[in-house]
Amino acid sequence: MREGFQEELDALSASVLEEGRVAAHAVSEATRALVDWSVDAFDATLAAEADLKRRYVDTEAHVETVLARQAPVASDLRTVLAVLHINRSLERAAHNAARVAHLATPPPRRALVEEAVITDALRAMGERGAEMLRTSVDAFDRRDPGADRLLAALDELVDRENEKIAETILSIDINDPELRQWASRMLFAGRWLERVGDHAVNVGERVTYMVTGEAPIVEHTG
Amino acid sequence: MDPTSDSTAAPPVTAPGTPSAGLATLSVEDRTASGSVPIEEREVVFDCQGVGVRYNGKRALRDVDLRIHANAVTALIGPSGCGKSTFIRCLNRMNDLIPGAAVDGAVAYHGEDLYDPQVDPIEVRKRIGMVFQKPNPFPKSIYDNIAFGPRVLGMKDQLDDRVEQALKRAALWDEVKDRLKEGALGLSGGQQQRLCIARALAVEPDVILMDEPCSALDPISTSAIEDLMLSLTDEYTVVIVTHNMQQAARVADMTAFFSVDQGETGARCGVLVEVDRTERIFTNPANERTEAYVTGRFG
Ligand SMILES: Nc1ncnc2c1ncn2[C@@H]1O[C@H](COP(=O)(O)OP(=O)(O)OP(=O)(O)O)[C@@H](O)[C@H]1O
Ligand SMILES: [Mg+2]
Repeated sequence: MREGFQEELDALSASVLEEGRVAAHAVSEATRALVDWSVDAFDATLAAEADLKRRYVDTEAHVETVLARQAPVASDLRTVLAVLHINRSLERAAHNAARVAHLATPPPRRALVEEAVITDALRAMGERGAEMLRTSVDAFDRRDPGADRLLAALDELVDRENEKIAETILSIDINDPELRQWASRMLFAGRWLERVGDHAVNVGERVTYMVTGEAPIVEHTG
Repeated sequence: MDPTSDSTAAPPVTAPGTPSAGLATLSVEDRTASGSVPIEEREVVFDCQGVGVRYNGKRALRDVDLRIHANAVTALIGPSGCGKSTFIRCLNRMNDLIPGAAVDGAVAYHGEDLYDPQVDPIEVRKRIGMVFQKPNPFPKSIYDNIAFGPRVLGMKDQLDDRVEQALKRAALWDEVKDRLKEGALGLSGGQQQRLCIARALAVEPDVILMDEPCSALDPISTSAIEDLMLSLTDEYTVVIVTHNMQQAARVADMTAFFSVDQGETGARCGVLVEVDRTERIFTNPANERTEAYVTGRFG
């Protein structure tokens, strides 16, 4: 019954999985661009962001058509709404990745310890963020209602790295303009990577709502 | 034609004005519009317990426990043959008119046993009006269609006023006020259905039951009837049977899902699966069978 509709729901779900893959790739590449100053990674990040933007527009149009033509209800409605929100979160995550890539610049190599601490923390945040995005869309694929809690725990780790970056930056020599400029770029990079984690948490919460119909949604903005 | 069709206006078997067992005691003043009160806290109009129906000994519906609250629209949905019409007919004793039909269980109407032998079924059908799938006006004038019920029930004073009020309430007045003496059969299907609603309203009922009132109507007439249902809840309690899921989602405060169970003997019998607030039924129903039905995967 309603086979065409089921096919459309399956197609929407497949789009989300593919977008999750692209978003995670964008974050990985952005991290590589940021801490390894790789031009290839920079190009790959922007290509992934552009790819995701196209997919985002297509998915939203498809959701609109499904809502208009199929008037989904109950779990179907929750699935379509989850797709709509997750679509947005993944697009935002990739956008943040592009922002991160744009901040890539080699450190002035003066405050060696601090530079290493900041770079390691950013790398950890980026890798964790990409992993969280993969985990969140995997939870969507498996209809896992417990993903929101796992992702919230991972997000704690991301936040902690970000705090470490902020503290370290406070300890560096603000009278060195070159160092100061690099540090402020890394401060922003930390902020955008922190938001990637928030988007993955949002995805997890939408999955929980989609599966249970119950969980309260607390959007982590960004 | 449905043998039960015209009974809203069926001639009384007792003399007009005969006091009936308490069913006439509820005054218009008692019906307060209760828009802001949560539906579960509103007055219980029908309290059905273990309601079932057999036709010639064969069970068609069993064990329905359902409360219907005042000043709200309750929708009955479910696959064909699950007993929606059978159940809605229990609410105004219309099954009394069907040969071979036997109702069991208890239906309390404002706390009184609807099936008490003391209760006058005519009074019941006056308080609890019914509108059917196919508009069924009499082959008489628009005016006479509305005036018929009040006339036979002895409500003869200010008849013109009564007709006008009923037509206004049914959102039909502006369309027919200049042609009240013309035949009702000259009206469009949607107008005829609103005429039948006006006819039910003219005898000052408390409840309006509607069995698929829009299934023969176009979308414009359907939305006129839906608007009407919503506006009626300030004074009346409305129960509708509908096959249109979106209609239930649009108009009903509460939705009851009925389905068919197959017993050990293989006999099919209607049951109430789930009743809840409509938004819940259409976003997150508790029962898998409801989910399968509302999402179009079964039934
Ligand atoms: N007058 C009758 N005599 C005998 N059996 C009847 C009668 N009316 C209904 N039934 C049987 O009772 C069962 C429930 O029928 P009912 O008309 O109440 O279903 P319904 O849910 O209203 O279906 P639909 O959506 O098709 O109108 C069916 O099996 C039907 O055949
Ligand atoms: Mg029926």
